[in-house]
Amino acid sequence: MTYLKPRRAILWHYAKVELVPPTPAEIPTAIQSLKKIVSGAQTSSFKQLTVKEALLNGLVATEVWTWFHAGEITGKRGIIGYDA
Amino acid sequence: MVPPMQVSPLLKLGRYSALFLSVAYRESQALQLPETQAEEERRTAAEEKTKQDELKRVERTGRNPRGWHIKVSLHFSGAMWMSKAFCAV
Repeated sequence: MTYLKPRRAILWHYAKVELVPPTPAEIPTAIQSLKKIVSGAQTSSFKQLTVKEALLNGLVATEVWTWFHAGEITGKRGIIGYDA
Repeated sequence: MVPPMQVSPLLKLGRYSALFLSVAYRESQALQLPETQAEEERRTAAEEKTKQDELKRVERTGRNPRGWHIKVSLHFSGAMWMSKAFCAV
């Protein structure tokens, strides 16, 4: 218990800011960012990104995709295939 | 300690919507699956059991099996005298 308490406090400190679901007020901002990305893809301005930025974007996209797979595993109730 | 990073709202929206949509999708798929080997065996075992119960019931009581229609000749059932007695048909 004494080992876990400070570590749990640290986890909670970061999770409160980073893992929080979006509040309804943030959703318009999110939609605007999405539109910016779509317009960036249309005007080919994404070719101006550095490789480092592109890699970071790829990493973030992979993380969102991982959340999708975690949800799938929860819904299937089995890690591989349905129902253990 | 490093201060926690501010995550863009697009990422938050994307992460949580991906999570909940995938859970809903997989749960709806799980309801539509064909039955597994274990479920099929259980179903056939249950059907066998109802058949066995039915046979045992017939043996025990000696009565007619449920739902079977026994044809009885009108002559022996007394329907003839009944129709003669009660209606002048």
